Amino acid sequence: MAEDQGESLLKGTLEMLILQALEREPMHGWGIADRIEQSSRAVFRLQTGTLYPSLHRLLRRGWITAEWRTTENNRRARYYRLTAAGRKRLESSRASWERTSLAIRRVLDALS
Amino acid sequence: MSRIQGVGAWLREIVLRRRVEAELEEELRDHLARERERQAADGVPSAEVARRAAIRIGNVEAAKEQVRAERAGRLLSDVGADLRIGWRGLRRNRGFAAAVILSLGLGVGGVTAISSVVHAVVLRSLPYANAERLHLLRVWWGDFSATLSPVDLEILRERTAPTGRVAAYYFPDDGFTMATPAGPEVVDGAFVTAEVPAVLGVPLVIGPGFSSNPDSFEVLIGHDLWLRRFGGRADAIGRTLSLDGRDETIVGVMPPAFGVPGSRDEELWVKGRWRQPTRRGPFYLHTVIRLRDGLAPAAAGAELTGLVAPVLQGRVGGNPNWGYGVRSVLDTIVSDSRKTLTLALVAVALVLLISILNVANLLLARGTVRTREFAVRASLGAGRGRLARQALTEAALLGACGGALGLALAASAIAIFRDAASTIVPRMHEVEMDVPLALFALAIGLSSGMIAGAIPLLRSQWHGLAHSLRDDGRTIGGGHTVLRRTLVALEIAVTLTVLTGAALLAKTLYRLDAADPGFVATNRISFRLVLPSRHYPEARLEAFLDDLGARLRALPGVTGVTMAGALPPDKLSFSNNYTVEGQTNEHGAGVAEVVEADAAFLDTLGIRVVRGRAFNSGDGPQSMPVAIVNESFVRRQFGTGEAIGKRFKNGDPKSTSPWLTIVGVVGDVPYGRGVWGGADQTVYVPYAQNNWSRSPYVVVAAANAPALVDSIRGIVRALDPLLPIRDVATMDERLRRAALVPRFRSWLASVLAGTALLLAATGIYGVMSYHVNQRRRETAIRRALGAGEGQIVGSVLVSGLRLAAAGLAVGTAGAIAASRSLGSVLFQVDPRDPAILAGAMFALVLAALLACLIPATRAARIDPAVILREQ
Repeated sequence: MAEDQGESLLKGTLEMLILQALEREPMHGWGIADRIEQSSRAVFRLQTGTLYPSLHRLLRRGWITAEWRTTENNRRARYYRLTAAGRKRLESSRASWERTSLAIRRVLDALS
Repeated sequence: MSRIQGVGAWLREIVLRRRVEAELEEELRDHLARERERQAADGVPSAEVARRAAIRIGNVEAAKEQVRAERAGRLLSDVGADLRIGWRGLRRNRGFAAAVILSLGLGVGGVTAISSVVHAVVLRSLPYANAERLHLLRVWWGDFSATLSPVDLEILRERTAPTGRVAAYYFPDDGFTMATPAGPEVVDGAFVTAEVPAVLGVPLVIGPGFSSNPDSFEVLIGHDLWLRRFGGRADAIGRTLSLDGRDETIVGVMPPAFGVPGSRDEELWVKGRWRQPTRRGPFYLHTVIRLRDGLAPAAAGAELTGLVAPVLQGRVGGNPNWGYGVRSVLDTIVSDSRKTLTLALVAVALVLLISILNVANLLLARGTVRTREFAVRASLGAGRGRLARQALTEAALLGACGGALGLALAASAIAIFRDAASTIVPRMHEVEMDVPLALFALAIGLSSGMIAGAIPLLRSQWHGLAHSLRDDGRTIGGGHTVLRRTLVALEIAVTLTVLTGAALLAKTLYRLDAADPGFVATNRISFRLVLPSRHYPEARLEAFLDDLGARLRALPGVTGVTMAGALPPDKLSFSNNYTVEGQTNEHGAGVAEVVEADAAFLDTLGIRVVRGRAFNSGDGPQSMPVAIVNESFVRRQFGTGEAIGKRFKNGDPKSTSPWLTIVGVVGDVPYGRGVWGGADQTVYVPYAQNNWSRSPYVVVAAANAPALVDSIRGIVRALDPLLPIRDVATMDERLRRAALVPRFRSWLASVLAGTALLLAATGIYGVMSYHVNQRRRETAIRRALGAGEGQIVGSVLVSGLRLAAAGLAVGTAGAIAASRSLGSVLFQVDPRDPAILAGAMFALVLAALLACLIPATRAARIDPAVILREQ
């Protein structure tokens, strides 16, 4: 997880980030972690102990599906993909998050 | 759709566990490989790559463990989490939880207690195999019936095997005198045919049972007797018991609590020896038949009659106008208490219904309050299904607590009931709280809670989560209010039904207590003597009773002593048919209860002589045979005409009994059917002209009657040390016992009605509280504009009344229907009595108003300033 800064991320928010990472195209586990790390400028580093349990949770909720693909070089990897429900979920999670973070911002600004 | 995919994934994890684990293994290896590639691509020296990669991706084994743990423990931890959340929620809202648990506890406790009684009494009181195939057989002439005679039995056993197996028994009035090392002991028992255990379907505890040898002296003993006399040892079989001077061989032991239908707590069953019958009667054999499978009881009687009658006419002749009738053993044994128990069960089920509605209401109210809480949880990742599960878990938790409370209530209720009700309900002392029953209580509690919890969920508006984050409380509860008001209206309707029933039963009790029994019951004590013929031949019997009477009369304070073969209100020796001289057959024949009594009977019991005279010393064995009849007899035979001087005789027109002259008419007094059944036609005949009874009832009238018991016992013991006095009771007590069953029913119904009222009031309170809360802005505005406190209170009360009115309107139909079904348990009360219904409505309205009072005053005390500033 986020090591240096000691950031913690709620499960639900983490799952939102994973879903977001899959919005454009399907990806395997390592790729998801990499995308999130890159786009967060290394703030969020997902270790396997956090990533894979979350992926399984999302699988159980039916927000993502998985299939094994053989890529270039005859390499097998398990690719995850957003489902329609997953997209909806991502949308509503983002909306919630926007509202919450806006409210937090306002409080911090107004009362500082 | 996604749900299905999700469930599919979850199933896959469970069913294809190994495959899934292997996949994860491969996936993690792939993950590590790619990380290493990235490190290498970033220019990390190759010696460092493995180490760096391992650190960055974290502990792989732990990851596998975590995935595994989540899969396995997920369900458990979810439920565990739900339970913890639910528990915390309940602790935070103690008042709400208490209200719900109490509501459920009352309903569950009642149902459990009553069910346990029903189970023990109705189902366990017949320890016969397939008891529904057992029927009692009686001989019918018109509408008069009797038990069977030896010739009936003989021919039944010969001819009717295809119809069913027959067994018969009778109870000698004076019991058996059993010789014991400590002296003779009188024991109750029965003479039985050898087939009794087989027909009843009861296996012996030990022993071979009766043999087929018709001449042997054999006896089956009861379990208690076996333990008492023989220490429960197997060598009791083959030993002999001396009964009435005869040695009977013990051939078996019956199970505990065994008895034949119509049992009188007998302890032994002696194989009967029957003389060759020479005539149609006498009719004293109780007979049971186990009908063959598939034969309808209604047809059985006709079939048996058809098989037996021709042979019987040929053998002994007699009046050919008779037939057999069958009646289910089940009905006869518990019919009266079955009615009571059915009543109780229905009433309690209604109360449970009310409590479920109440709980649903409370949960609905709480649901609207918690919508905001659920909204926040939803935004943090909880799904709709999860939230519904949490709500149901909480409801189940409440249900389980309610069930536990109900269990405790039921256990204590049973403990209390056990002694109080054992005189009314047969085998009440066997009712116990056992494990299956306890589980039953908890199951009812749980399911009631979950049903109540499911009702709100059916109408929940989870998809409004987004806008529920707004502070506007008004939009949320809109739909719920209608449902809640409907639930409360239903509660009120059901409560009205229960209240009406209870009121009818209470009035029944009142009428019964107020009914004129026809005799004086105060200051009179009674008991019974049984004088066996072997010790008391005819001459000795009369002398003994005369002596006893004289000594009793000599006791200080005694104003009268009488002996008779019957005693009001419910002790009767026998009925008989009779024929009136000169009347045509239609009215001239009838059936009357016969009371053989001494001359002091009417006077000692304070029975009114309406015309003519009582018996006197002039009515002796040599003088004209006389009789006294009651008003019912006169009404039936002579209408308004004179009865004194008319004559009638026992038996049908062809009988050779002597004609009796009516010398007096007395008021109606119940004998056979008790106060409830009322008085039948009654004929009194003097002992002096008939046979003295071997088991007379004796009544002693004195101002201090109860205090004389010891003196009476002393007198009897002085006359015969081996003669016990039985069935000692004051006449008051006997009368009170007649009202025991209706008293119990009335008490039960009142308790349930009170509970129902309480629950309904709670429901109304809940709804009105919410209503007042919702309207607080409007109320504030009205107050600000000048409305007085009284006006506010008034409007709230009106709202409450409107709610109650809706329930009453619906409930009236139910109450009327229920009242009509109570017909058979009412005494001198019209089920359609409008006063009762009106009274019940009034009570409900009053309760509703009281329940509204607190919310109303709260509304009145609203400070407009505070409320209007709320945003």
